[in-house]
Parts: sequence; structure tokens; C-alpha cells
Amino acid sequence: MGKTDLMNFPCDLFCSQILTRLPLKEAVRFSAVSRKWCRAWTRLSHLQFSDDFFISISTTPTKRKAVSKLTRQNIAVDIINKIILMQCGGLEIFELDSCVGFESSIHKWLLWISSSGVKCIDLKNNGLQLEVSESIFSCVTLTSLSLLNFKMIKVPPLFQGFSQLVTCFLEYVELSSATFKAILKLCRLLESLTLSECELPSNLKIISLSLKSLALLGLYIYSIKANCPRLESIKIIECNDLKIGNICLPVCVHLETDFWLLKDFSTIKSLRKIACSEDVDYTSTKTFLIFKLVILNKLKFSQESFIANQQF
Amino acid sequence: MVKECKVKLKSSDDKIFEVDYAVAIQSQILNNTLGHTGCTDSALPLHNVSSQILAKVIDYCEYHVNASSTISEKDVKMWDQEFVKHLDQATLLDLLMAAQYLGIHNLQELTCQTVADRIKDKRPEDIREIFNIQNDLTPEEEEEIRCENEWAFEEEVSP
Repeated sequence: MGKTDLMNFPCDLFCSQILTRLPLKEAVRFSAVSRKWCRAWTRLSHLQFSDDFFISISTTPTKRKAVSKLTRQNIAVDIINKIILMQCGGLEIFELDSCVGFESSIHKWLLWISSSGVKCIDLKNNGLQLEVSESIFSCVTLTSLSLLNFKMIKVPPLFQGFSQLVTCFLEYVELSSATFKAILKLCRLLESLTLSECELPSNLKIISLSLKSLALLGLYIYSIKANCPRLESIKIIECNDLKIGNICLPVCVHLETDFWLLKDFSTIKSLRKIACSEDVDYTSTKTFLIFKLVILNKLKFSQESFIANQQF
Repeated sequence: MVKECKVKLKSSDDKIFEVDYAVAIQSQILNNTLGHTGCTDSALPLHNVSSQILAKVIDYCEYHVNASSTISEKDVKMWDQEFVKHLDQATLLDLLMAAQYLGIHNLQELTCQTVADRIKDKRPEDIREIFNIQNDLTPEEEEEIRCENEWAFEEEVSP
């Protein structure tokens, strides 16, 4: 085999492995290197419209000539429209790090990428909370969905579910009880769910036959009931209204939670054995205590027993 | 159960290399093959990898077979950077292809990132020089490409 140079390097490999590691502006600029690469930018597997991207298109002479903010916004929309429309397949990851000003465009962007078989969508809204675009429900090939600062709308009646969705990360998302339940029910392969600072029903019920890992961070909930036979691990951090007695989990779950959650408890009921991890620091009240619950129905502790067990 | 046997690999230019089993199985492809055939005396032919590149791949895998347990992550990263630092473009690309062909994930990551780092922040003319690429675009074609995505070619100015 002769020495490889970029000219005989496989195009697909280059696009998916190397161009995707460059900022979008540079990946597009690569098209001027030679004839072989002039359309490489239309075969990107990862489209990331990051803060750097928006900065890079706002500090150029054309943009600065644009008088009003609206015109600058329109220029950005035109650029993004073109990039998305010109993609001819192979798009796997779509990330949008700023939604302010793009509310009406997001609908069509999501529709366009839904037909490309996109696997992973990550939308971050940095302004006032926005309603999620209905087009998200057209992206049925998703394996991973991540939303920051949105209000979830009602699930459309004909929605069959994100049948391939494995990972879901929601932060500052408002979800009604019905929508939450519907999404869990319709996503039959969902394994990992993270809910951070979300607005949810305060008596949280989680029913999922596939869920393996659950993380609840900063939620204002009073109780949790997890009917998830496959659940292996659950993380409950800074859910300040939650009482330990109001957590109902399936058996054999690895629980990671704040130390203080255990301070407010009444009597031991059905508790067999707690194994504590070695790296627990009892001097700090905010330390996370990690332990494995061997048999658990409802979890209640007595203060005396807990203090007595502190030596382990 | 860690196998103690040695594995023979034959490069595209018919040179034989002998490596430990643990080193060989860092390649997903070899891992699968050895899983089926077990340790044999005959050399496994690697038609797409020259001896020069195979030697480098083996260097990488030999370091990394011990690295995970005994060396700190920081030191491993430093070694990796040294490993790729002085490679010329052709060797780097060959190494990338070999890593991909053999299914050595972390070597593939390392080489891809290195190529990307060498391209980053460079203008098309600089990239052509670094990678020894002939400019086969006519001035009209180049102009058309630059106009198509004007925004990508504008130099950024500080506000």
C-alpha cells in the first residue's frame, strides 16, 4: 500500500471522523481546499450550532454591516437553513445551543432533520422558556434526546413514540403528568432518564418497563414511586421537599442520594441490610451517601440505628 | 483467563511481528478472529497494513496494554501526544487507516483528533501546504465555492 495522503483518503471516513471535530465554520471552509473536498461539508454526521458558531458569524464584516438585530438574526437563519438543507444524508447528531430568535425556524429545522434519520438531538434554550416544537415528535429515529429550558407540549394523538430512544436528559423542562406518563409509556427502549430542575407533578410516578437508570436533581417533589422492574440505579440529589419515607423503589437498586435525606426519618421498618461505600465523609453534611439496598419496599430509618451503624 | 500465547502478525509487505495475546486483542478485529481460531502458529495476514505502520501500531498497543492499570491518565495522555507529535502527515493518515481497519478505538480517536488539530484554525491555502495537496480548483470554481458559503470565509474581526 502506498503512502496515504489526503487526496486518496476515503471521503466518508474523513467527513465523519475528522471534519466533525472541527468547528462548523472550519468544516465548511474546508470545501475550498480542493475539488475532492468541495462538497464534504454536505456530509457532516454532526451539526453543532454552538455559541462559538454564533459568535463566528456575528463578528464578520457582512454581519457588522447589517443594521438591525433582526437583520443579523435573519442572516443567521439563512446560513443555518442552507447548511441543514444541503446535508445529503448521514446526519446523526444535531445540537443547537441557542434558540432565542429562532422560535419559528426551529419547527422547520427539526422537520428537515427528521427525514435524515437523526439519532441525537440536543436543544438548549438560553432565553425565556419556550414551548417545544411539535416537529420534535417527527424525529422518530432518535436514540438520545436532550432539552434545556423548554415547556413540553401535549403528545400529538398519532404519535407512536420514540421507539429507539435510549437516553433522555431534561433540564428546566416543564412536563405535565399526562405528558410525562405518555412519553414513558411510548418509549419502550428508554434506559436512562435524567430530570434536572424540571417542573413535574409533586407526587412523581415513574412507570417504565425498560428504565435502568434514573437521576432526579433539584426537583420539588414530595414523593417518588418507581414502578420499573429493570431499574438498577437511582440518583436523588437536592430534592429538598422529599422525605425518605415517601420513596418507593423496586428491589435491588443502587441508590445515590444526599446525606441529609437520611437525617429526617422515623422508624426502621422493612430494612435488611445496608452496605456503605468506603468513601463516605461523615463530617460533611452535604456528602453524597452511596449504598446498595438489598431488599427494599419502603425505606425508613431510625436515628439511633443509623448512628449506631456509622462505624461501617 | 488471560492467555499467555504469542500472536503472529504478517504485514502487507510480508514481515512477521510477534506480540503478546493481550496486545493483539486491543484490536477488535483480531479479538474476534482469535476468539474463533484461538492461538495458532500461523501468522494472521494484515493486507492493509505495511510493516512500518504495523510497528507503530504495536508500539501503541504495547504501551496501552499496561497503561490502564499502572499509569496515571495524565501520563498516558502525555505519552499519546509525544507518540503523534512528530509524525508526518502521510504516516499519521496511514496510522489512522490502520487503527480503523484493525478496530483500535483509542488509537483511532487519537489520530483523528491529531489530524483535526492540524487543520484547525488554518486557511485553505495553509491546509494545502501542510498536507501537500494540489489546488485543482480553477479560480472561477474557487470563487464559486467561497461565494456559496461566504460567511465561512470571512475573517473574524474583533468588535
